[in-house]
Amino acid sequence: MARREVLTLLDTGAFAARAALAATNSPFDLTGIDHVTLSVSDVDKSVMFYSRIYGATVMKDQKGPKSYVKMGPHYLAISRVGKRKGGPGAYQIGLGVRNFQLSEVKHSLDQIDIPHHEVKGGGVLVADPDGNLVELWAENSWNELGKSASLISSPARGEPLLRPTTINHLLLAVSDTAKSTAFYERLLGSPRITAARPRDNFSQRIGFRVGKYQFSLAPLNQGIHKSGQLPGVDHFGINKLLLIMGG
Amino acid sequence: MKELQDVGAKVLPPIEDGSGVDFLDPDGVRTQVEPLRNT
Repeated sequence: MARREVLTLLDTGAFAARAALAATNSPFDLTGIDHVTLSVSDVDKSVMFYSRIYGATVMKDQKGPKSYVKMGPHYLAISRVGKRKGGPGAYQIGLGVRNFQLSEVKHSLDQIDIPHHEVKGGGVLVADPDGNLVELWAENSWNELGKSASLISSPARGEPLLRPTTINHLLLAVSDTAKSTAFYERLLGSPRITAARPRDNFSQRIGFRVGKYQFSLAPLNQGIHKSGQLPGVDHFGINKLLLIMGG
Repeated sequence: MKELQDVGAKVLPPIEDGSGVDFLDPDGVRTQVEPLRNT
C-alpha cells in the first residue's frame, strides 16, 4: 500500500486504516455483481420501464409478485416495497460465486462468523450492518431462476434502448463506515481506499474487488445525488456495448 | 438521451467523464451507464 494511501486512510480514522492494512482475501471465489434487487412502489410499472430499456426477457416468480428483468448476463429482481424502512430503492445485492456449492458457502460464512440464511431455491443471504442484504449465489444465476419463475410475455415492445454487458460497479452508502468496512472485509477481502473521482460529491470511496468489478462504500450523506438518504445502494453502474465503426 | 426520457427515466448529468449517462427509474433508483468501447 502506498504511503499516500495510508495517510489518506489515517484521515478517515484508525479503524479504516486497520481494516485496509489487514491483508485478507475473500473466502469466496466471486465472479461479480450478478443481480440487484429493487424494492419498488409498482412492480408492473417498473417491469415495463426496465424491459423497455433492457429488453423484454422477463420472468415472474411462480409463488409471489417478484419479477425479473434480464439485463445482459445479469438481471434486476423487482419486488413490492412492502414495509421496508426508507421506501423504494435497491436493497439487495447478488454476488456470483464460481462453482457455487451451498454447503461450502455456508461453511465459509460460519468460518468468518457471519450469520446467514438459506434462500429456498436460491443462494445464501447475509445482512450487512445497515440491514442491506447480500445474496451469495451461483454466477449467472438467471439460469437458476427457471426453477421457481417462469418466462412471461412483457408488454414492452420494440428494440431495447441499451444492451448491457455487465454490472461493472456498485456504490453503497453506509451509516457507519467502520462497521461496514469490517463487515465487507470479511466477506469480500481487503478494501482499498480510492480517491474520489473529479466530479464525486464525496471525499473517497472504500473499494472492494468483486471478481473484476468494483464494490464501494461511501459514508452516508456523501452519495452523489441523494442528500439525506438512508443507507443502501446509492447507484449501480452498467457497461453497454458501444460499437465504434471503423475505429 | 431522449429515448430514456421517453420511457419515463429522469436523465441526470453524467458523473464521470461525460461519456456515459445516468438515469433514475420511477422510484428514484439510479443507474450509471458507461460505454464499453469495442473497436
